[in-house]
Amino acid sequence: MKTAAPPLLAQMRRHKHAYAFILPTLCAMFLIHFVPMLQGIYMSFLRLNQITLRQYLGAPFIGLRNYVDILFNPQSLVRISGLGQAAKVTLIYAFVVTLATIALGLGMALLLHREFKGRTVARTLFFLPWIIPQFVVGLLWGFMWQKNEGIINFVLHDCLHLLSDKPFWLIGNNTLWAIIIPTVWRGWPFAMIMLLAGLQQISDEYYQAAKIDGANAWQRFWHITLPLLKPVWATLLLFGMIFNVYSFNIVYMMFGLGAGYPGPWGDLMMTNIFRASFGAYRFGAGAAASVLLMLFMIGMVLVWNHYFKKDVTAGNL
Amino acid sequence: MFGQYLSRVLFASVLLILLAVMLFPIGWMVITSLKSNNDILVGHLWFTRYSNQIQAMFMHNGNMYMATENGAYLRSDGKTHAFKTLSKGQEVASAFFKAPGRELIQATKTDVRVRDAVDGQELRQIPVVDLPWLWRENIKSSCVAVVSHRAYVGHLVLKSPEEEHQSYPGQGVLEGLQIVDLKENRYLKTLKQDEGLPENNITALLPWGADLWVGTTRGLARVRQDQVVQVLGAAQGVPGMVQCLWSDGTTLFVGTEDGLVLLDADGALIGRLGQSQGLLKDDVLSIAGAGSLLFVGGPTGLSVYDRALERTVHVLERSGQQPWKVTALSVAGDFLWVGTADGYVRKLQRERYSVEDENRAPETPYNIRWTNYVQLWKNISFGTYFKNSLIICLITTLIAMTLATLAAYALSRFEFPGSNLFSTAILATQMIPGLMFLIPIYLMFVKFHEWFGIQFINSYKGVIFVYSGFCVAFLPLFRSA
Repeated sequence: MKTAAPPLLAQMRRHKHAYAFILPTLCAMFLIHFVPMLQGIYMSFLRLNQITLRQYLGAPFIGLRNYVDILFNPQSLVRISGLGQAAKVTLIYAFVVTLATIALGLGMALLLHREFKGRTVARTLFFLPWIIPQFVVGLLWGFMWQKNEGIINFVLHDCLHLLSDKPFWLIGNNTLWAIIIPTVWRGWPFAMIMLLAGLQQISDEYYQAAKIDGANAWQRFWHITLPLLKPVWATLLLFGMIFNVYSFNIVYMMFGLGAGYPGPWGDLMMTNIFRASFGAYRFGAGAAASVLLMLFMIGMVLVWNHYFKKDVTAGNL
Repeated sequence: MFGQYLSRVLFASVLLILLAVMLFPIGWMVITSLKSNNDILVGHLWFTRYSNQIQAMFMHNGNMYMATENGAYLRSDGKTHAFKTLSKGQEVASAFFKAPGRELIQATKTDVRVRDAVDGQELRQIPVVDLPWLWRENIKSSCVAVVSHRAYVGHLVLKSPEEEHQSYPGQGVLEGLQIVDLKENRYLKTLKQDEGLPENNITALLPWGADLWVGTTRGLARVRQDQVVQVLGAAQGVPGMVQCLWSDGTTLFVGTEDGLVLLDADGALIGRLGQSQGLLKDDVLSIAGAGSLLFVGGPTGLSVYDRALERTVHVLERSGQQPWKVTALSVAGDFLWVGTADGYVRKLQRERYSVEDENRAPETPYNIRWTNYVQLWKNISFGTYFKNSLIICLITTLIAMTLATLAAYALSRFEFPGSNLFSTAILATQMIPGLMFLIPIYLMFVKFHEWFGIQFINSYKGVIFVYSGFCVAFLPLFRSA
């Protein structure tokens, strides 16, 4: 005779302390995330601008007009200029930053995994960029990239003679690199620490067995280290993508007083939406663009789920 | 043996090079912070969100009164960035004047307002002219001065060529020097071109004893007891339009488009300062002074002229796309406040101009100076900000850690109905763009205040609440199985 699964209610009653534990988090999520998100989504269906902001959710309902204008109507007055370009830049930026961060972090983690004197000191020093706030990073690198007075052009041109003349970093196609490099610089130590922790959990026996089998260093890395670290770098990949697609602080601070506009070369989705919402007061269109971005992000996470979810241990996510 | 040694050295050098590259920006930041900046700019205030020309500034008891193109503001110095809007909109082309006692006189396009000089409270309003809206836009700037209980108000009215010969209601009162009796609170009369003023458009006013110097678009006039007693034009050395007036008690400084003209008490020409004396431009838009130093604002920046040394000791220039068009200057204590046409007020350190400073030993690149750190505490309310950060950070961490630990414990310890949904929801919260929250959360806090009387806006509580909420939904992600 098959034993019936305990009824749902009984299960829930059995775990009532668990519900009590997650209750504060649920409340916070409801108030800080869920309600504002619903309002935000509703805002995207409204003609919400400078004039109608006072009515807020009572502003004229215009259905999908905001979405249609953003996506298909380049002549519309409520379009957000340069959103397509911003989407392109954001995609490149997010991919390059995420992959470079993980690659650099992995390289450094392998380097620092070795036994040597002063290992702790070296790890602490390499971790320093991560503790600098993003706003300071943006400001600092903004000064460093300056054409004439900036230290980077000074080093590359005057000291090392790598460049024949001083290029503009904050105008033109170089802008993309000028925002990617600081983000990677600030982000890789975190990846390094996570991957180091992962490396330390890999048992030495695998490597010894592989050595006996005659595997060289590269084969050991490719067939042992990388697969066993997959939970860590898959997680880093997910959060890297999320954070970098929603990146705002560094770009905003680097192009500071000009309302954070880096020109079409380095304009990200978030800075673009920020300008549309709080510069041009097109809150409805801004909310619509945010919703589209969110949908894209959810799609990305679903793709990630399909490829990596099974590798990331069940308890971890 | 040797190979092992070599690989060690190689490893160490690779590590050191990487360390140098990675820490280079931090090192550069630290070194820069220890250098004395050559710029005497110690801070600037972004004070209106419109790019308004700062037309006049007035310091009193640590309060700064500012008149801009579209509003008048009060900034109390104790609270950085705390601005109080005194009046705003089309009726205002403000000018301020400090009258004897506790009174502050503000002239707008249509009236004269008497304010309390300490808190900016409006005490009374004296209507002067009933001007149609359409014509108010033509008033580009105003000035006001008080001589023996009379307020004198002048406007610069710019008309388009087709409006030039058009008359409008209020014209007879508006164009010329308006005289307002502050004791009887009424408008008396307007002194006009046909009564001796060189021009009806008035650009600057300066009281001098019982007299009043009136700068117009075509020369300077001295007014005594509401009568024009002296007119100085191009023949007397005052060329063209007077743009600003200032005096140190013995000398009258007249800023014109063609240099700074120095006159004595009788209006006789003493000298002239211009580009040939080292000023940035001949065009003088604003002027202030302290001691032997003369601060001269021009269309591209600020020049500092030392009258004892008889030369320009410092210039601060920004030309190009967004030049520093210095339209207002005010000296208060150790600082010089510089208002520019793009709507910024910048605070410069005055003592950096002093003569001793000039003779100081030249700086070498290796000099370590702590001035930046000292100024951080002296000129910016860094302590306050630091305290704010500390309070918010500590309480947020405490709350978020406690609550998130509970949730993470429940998630990893038990498998209850909905636990999968909950962990997916935690991940999903990260997927919402931050900008989407801003307005809803703000308005939610407004509602909280209405419904429960909890002050979440402009308080630690609100920030801590939001940050804790974000952290609580984020931290359970970092639990391990």
